[in-house]
Amino acid sequence: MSTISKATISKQEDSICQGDVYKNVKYSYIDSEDDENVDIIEYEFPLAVIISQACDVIAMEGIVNEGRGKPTKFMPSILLCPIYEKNQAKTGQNIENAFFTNDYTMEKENVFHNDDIKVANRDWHYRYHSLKIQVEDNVIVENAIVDFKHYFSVPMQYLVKNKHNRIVHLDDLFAEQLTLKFATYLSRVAIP
Amino acid sequence: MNDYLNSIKNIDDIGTSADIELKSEIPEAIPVIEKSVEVPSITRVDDEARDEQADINLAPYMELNKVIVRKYRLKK
Repeated sequence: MSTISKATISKQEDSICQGDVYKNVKYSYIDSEDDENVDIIEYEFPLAVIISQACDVIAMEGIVNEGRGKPTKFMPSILLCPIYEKNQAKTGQNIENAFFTNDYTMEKENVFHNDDIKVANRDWHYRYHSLKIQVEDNVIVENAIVDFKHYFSVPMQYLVKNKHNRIVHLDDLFAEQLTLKFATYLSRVAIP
Repeated sequence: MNDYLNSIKNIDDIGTSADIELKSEIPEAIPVIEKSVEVPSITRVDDEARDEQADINLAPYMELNKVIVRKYRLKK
C-alpha cells in the first residue's frame, strides 16, 4: 500500500538517526591508482535516506563527536539509499551521468515493464519504495522513489560534518516501513 | 524511534553541535590535477527560510533530481 510518510523538520541538535533525509550527499571511492595518481569517482545524490539502525547510528555519532567510545559501538560506515524523481527513474535519466563519466554506453530502456509502474505506485515493488514526504500539512517530497539497488554508505564523519544538509526525519513508523522493505529486497534470492 | 530519541536525557552528551571539531580532518590542500566536470550548484531550497519557518511550502524538492558523477585524478 502506498503511504504518505510523515516527517519532522530536523533540528541541528537532533541526533543523526535512521530515517533522516539528507540533501546533496556525496559518496566517493577509489576507482584506480598507479604509482603517481589516484582516480576518484564521486557521486552526488540529490537526496538520500539513512537506512542503518537508529541505535547504531546514534552510538557512532557519539563516538565521532566525543572522540571516544566502546569498540562494540564502532561502525565504519552508515548505509543510505538514494531518493529519485519517479519519472526520471522510469527512463534511467537520473543515473545517466554515471554512464557518461564512466564511459559506459547507456542503452535505452523503460525501467518499469508492463504493470511495474502500477505495482510501484501501490508500493508493492521489491526494488522501489514509493515516497511522498509530508511535514505537517506541507508535502516536501512527492512523486519520488527510494531505489534499494543503489544503496551506498558514507562514514559518520561525513554525516556529522554535513548535518546542515539534513532536511527531515521520517517518523518511526515510516522509517521502519522503509527499512523492512529494504531488508526484504536485500534478503531475497533472485535467480537471473 | 522518536520515543527512543526522546528517552535520551542528556542529549548534549551525544553531541550535536554545528561547530564540532572532528578528530580527523582531511587535508584542505589536496592537489587536483584533473576533474571531469565543473562542480554544479544544485541547491534548490532557501535553507534560511526553511529554518525560520517550517510551515512554508518546501516543494518541489525533486526538480533536476539527477545524480551528478565526477571523476578526479589526484597526485600521490
